[in-house]
Amino acid sequence: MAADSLLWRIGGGGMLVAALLKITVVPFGEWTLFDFEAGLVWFNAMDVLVWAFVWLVGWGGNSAHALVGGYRFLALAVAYELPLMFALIAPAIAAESLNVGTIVAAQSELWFIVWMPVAFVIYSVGVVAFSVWGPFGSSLGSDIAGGVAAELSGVDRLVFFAGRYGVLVAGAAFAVPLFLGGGSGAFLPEWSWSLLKTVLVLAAFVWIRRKIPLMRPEKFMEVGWMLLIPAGMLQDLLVAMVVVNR
Amino acid sequence: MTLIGDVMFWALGVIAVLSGVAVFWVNSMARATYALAISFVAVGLHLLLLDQAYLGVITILMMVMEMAVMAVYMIMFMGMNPALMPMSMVHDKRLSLVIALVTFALLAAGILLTPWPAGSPAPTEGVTMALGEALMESKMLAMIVLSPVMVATIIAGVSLSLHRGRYDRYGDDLKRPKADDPQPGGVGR
Amino acid sequence: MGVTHALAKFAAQRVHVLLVEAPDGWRARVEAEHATVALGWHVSLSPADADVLVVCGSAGPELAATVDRIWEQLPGPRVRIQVDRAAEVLPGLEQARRNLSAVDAHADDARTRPRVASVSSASGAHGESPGGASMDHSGMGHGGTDHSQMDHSGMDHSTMDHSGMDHSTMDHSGMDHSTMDHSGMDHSTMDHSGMDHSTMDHSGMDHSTMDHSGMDHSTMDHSGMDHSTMDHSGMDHSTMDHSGMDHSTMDHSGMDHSTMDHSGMDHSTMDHSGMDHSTMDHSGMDHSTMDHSGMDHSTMDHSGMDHSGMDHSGMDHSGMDHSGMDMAPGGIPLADGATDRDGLEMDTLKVQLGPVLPYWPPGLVLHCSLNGDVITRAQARALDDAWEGLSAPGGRDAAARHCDDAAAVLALAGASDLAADARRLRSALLRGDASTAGTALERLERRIRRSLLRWSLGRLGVVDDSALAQHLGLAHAGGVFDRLLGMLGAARDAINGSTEERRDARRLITALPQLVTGLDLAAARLVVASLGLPSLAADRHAHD
Repeated sequence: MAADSLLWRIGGGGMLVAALLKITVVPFGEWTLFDFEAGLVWFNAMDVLVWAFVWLVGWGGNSAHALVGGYRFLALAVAYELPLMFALIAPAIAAESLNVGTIVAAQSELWFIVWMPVAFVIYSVGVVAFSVWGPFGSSLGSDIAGGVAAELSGVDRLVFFAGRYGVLVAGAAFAVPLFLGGGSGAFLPEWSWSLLKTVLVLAAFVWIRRKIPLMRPEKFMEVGWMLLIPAGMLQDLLVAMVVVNR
Repeated sequence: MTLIGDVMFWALGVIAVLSGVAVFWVNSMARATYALAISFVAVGLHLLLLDQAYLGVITILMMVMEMAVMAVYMIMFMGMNPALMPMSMVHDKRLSLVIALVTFALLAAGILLTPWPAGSPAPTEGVTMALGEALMESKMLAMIVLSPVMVATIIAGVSLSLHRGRYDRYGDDLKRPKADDPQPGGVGR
Repeated sequence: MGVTHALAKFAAQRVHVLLVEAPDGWRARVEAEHATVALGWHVSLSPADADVLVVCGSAGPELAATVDRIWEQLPGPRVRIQVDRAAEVLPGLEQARRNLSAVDAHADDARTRPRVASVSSASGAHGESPGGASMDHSGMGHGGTDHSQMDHSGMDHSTMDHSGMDHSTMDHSGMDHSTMDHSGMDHSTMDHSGMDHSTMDHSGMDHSTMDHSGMDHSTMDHSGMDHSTMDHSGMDHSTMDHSGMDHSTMDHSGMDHSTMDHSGMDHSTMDHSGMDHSTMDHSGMDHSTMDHSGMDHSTMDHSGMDHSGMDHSGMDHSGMDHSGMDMAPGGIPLADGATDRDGLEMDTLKVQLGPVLPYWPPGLVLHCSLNGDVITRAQARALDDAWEGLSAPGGRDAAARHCDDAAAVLALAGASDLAADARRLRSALLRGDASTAGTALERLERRIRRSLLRWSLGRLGVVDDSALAQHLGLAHAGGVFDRLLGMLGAARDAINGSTEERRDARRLITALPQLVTGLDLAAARLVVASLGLPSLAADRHAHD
C-alpha cells in the first residue's frame, strides 16, 4: 500500500480549477466570461467536483488521518448538497431560467433575498460547507492532525488551500447574482456593485469561521435532512406558488 | 459543425473511450472509479456539444457525485486490504468479454439500423424541453407513476435493511423522548 | 544566491511550528504556543505543515524515538529545537528563525537526509504496524489461480525476513511459470537460513522461457545442498545478490518439490526491487499442504511491483499452513475483519493516537482498532511511564492548567474564538493577573453556556454512572459539555485558593478504552480531552 501521488495531486490542484470554473458563469456587470444557458447547474456541477477532489486528497496521501478526513467530507456532503440544490432551485423557479443573467434580470424590482431568505441561508450553509470552511471544516480538523491536509506540504499545500479559498470566494460571488440583485445599485457602475456585494458576503463567511463550533457529520446529518431539506422544499413551494399566480 | 467542434467531438470521444478502458487496466479501486468518472464527464461534455446544455451539465454533476460515493462503497465492500493494495480490476475474463462484446454489438446494431431523420433541422428554442417531450410525452402517465414507486422502493429497502429500527431507538412503545443512538444526531429524532 | 537568501528570509517571517510536549514540558509548551501566536507565526497540526519542530520538556526514550521519526517527516527546510523551560522559548524560536534562512545548510540537509521516511512513523499518530501478527492461512485453496503473464518488475524485496518459514507439504504441481520475466531482480542480502524444502511437490511445473536476465548470483553459497526429499533447513542465503541474473529459457518442468519443509527460513533484508515477473506461467503447480508457519515477512518492501496480467489459473494451494506468519508487506499487515457497532463486518485498521497530536495529553498513547473511523477496541498507555512521580500543582498554576484543558476541548470542538479566550485567560493566570482573570473566567463561562456547544457536546461521552464518575475523580456525572464547564469551575476554585480533590491519572488512563470504545475519532478525541489529563501532570520546572 503506497501513496497514490497521481490522485493526490489531481485532488489538490482540482480545487483551484473547480473554483475558477465556478467564477466563469458569474456576471460582473455586463461581462460574463461564460454566459451559459444552464449556468446555475454548471455552478452546482462544479461544487460536486469538490466532493471528488477533497476525497482524492484524503485518499492519495496514504495516511489514516487524511483518509478519515476525506470520508468525513463525503458524509457532510451527503447532508449539505441536497439542501443546497433545493436552495439553488428557488431563484431558478422565480426567474423561470437557469441562466444567471436572466436570474439577475428577474430581480430588477425585488432582490430574491427578500422573499427567499430561507433559500439564501441554506445556500450560504452550502457554500461554507463545500469550502471546508469554519464550522464545516471537520475534514481538516485538529482532532485528526489536519485531516485531509495532514500530508500536504510545500507547493501541494499552497495549491490546495488556494483552491479552498477560491471555492469560498466563488460561492460568495455567486450569491450576488442569485439573491442580491447582481450588479444593481445606485451611483456606482454595475461591476463594482457586484464586487462590493461579493466582498460583503465573503466577509460574513470569514467572520462566521471562528464563531460557530464544528458541525460534526453525525450531528449535521440530521440537521440537513430533517430541517434544511424540508425548509428548502417549503421555500421552493412558496416561490412556485407566487410564480404561478403572477 | 465547425472545425473546432469536430476536434472537440473526437478528442472527447477518445478520452471517454480511453478512460473507460483505464477502468479495467488500472490496479486500484480509487483509480478505476475516477477513471469511470472522467469517462462520464467526457460524455457530459459531448452532450454540451450537441447543444443539450442542461442534460450535459446534469450528467457531469450526477456522475461525479455518484462516483465519489461509489468509490466509498467499492473500497468498503471489497474488504481486506485488496481494496487498498494494487489489484487487478479484471475477473472472470472470458464471460465478461463475451457479455461486453455482445452488448457492444447490440448497441452498435441499434445505432446503425435506426432510421435516423435525414438532414439536420435547425434546433428548436428549448432543446431540453423538446427532447424531454420526444422521449416521455407519450409515456407521461407511466413516468409519473414510476417515480413515487421508485422512492417507495428505496425507502422500503433502506428500512428493511436497517440494523437499528425505530423500536431500538425509541423503545417498544415508541415513547422515548430522545432517540437512543450510539452517537446522538443533531436534531434528536 | 542573493535572491534565494532574500526569499528564505522572507519565508521565515511566518514560521509554522509543530509543538511536541513531554509530560514535564507543559510550562514550556504553553510559553511556546503563546510566543508563536505573539510572533504572528502559526501552530501547525501535522509534521508535513511544519518548519520548526519544538520539543518541550525532556522526552523519555520512547517519546524521543517518536520525535526522531517525526523529524524525518518534516519537509525541508526544517529546524529542530529543544526547550526545557519557559525562559528558553523565545531565544530558541529566534534561533530557529535564523537557522531557517540558512540556505546552504538546508541544501545539505536535503541532500543527506534519507529519501524515504521510515514506514511505520507518520507523526506517531498515524498507522503503525504491530509486529507478531500470527496469520493462519491453513487450508487455503488457491486452486484455479492463473499467474501466467505476471509482471513482477520493479519489486523491492530488500530486508525481507522469511526466517522460520515452513513450506512443507505444499502442492505446487500443475503451475505454469512459462515466459516469466525476472530480469533486473535484486536478491542481495537475502537470508534463507533454516529453510526446509523437503517433500515439496513442484511436479508438473512449467518454467519455460523465463527471463532472469541481468541477475547476479555471485557470492552465493550452495555448497553441500541435499535435494533428495529436500531438506533445506538451516540454509543461510543472507547477503545474496541476484541482480543482473540471466536465467532465460530455463526449463524446470517436471520438478517434484512435494512435501518440502521451508520452516525456519529467514528472508529478511531481501531486495527484490526491479523484478519483472510479467508473463510468468505458474499454471499446474501444486502447492497444497505447504506449511508456512513461523514466517516473518516484516519490513518487506514490495514497492513498485506490477502484478498486472498475472494468470494463476490451475494452482492448487489447498492445505497450506501459513500459521505463525507475520505478513506485513510494506509494513502494513493485512486487515482483519470485525463487526462494528451497526453490525457491519468491516476491516479493522490499527491506528495509534498520540503521543504527538494537537490537543492530546502529553506522553499518552492510545492504540485503536478502527472500523471506518469508529473505535472498536482501544488500549491506553503512558510512554516511558511518564506520569510516574508527577503530581498536580496547586494554586495559580493549577488554574492556568484547567484553562489550558478547557482550551483543548474548545479547540477540538471547533470553537476557535472561545479557545483563544481560554488561552488568553491561561496567560493572564500565569502572569499572576488574578483580578482580570476572575472576570474573564466568568465571561468565558457565560459565552460557553450561550454557545452552540451545549448542542454539539451535550450528549457526548456521557458518564451516567455516578459511581464510575466518582471512581474517575470527575466532579459529577455528565457529558463532555458538563466536564468542560467543570474545568472552568475547577479553575475558579483554584484561583480562590480552595484545594481540589486529588485525581489519579493512572485510573483515568485505565478507564480510557472503556470510555472511547464505540465512538468515532472526533467524539473520542473530545472525550479524552474532556477528562483533563494534562492538568494532572505537574511540571518539574514549575517553580522557575
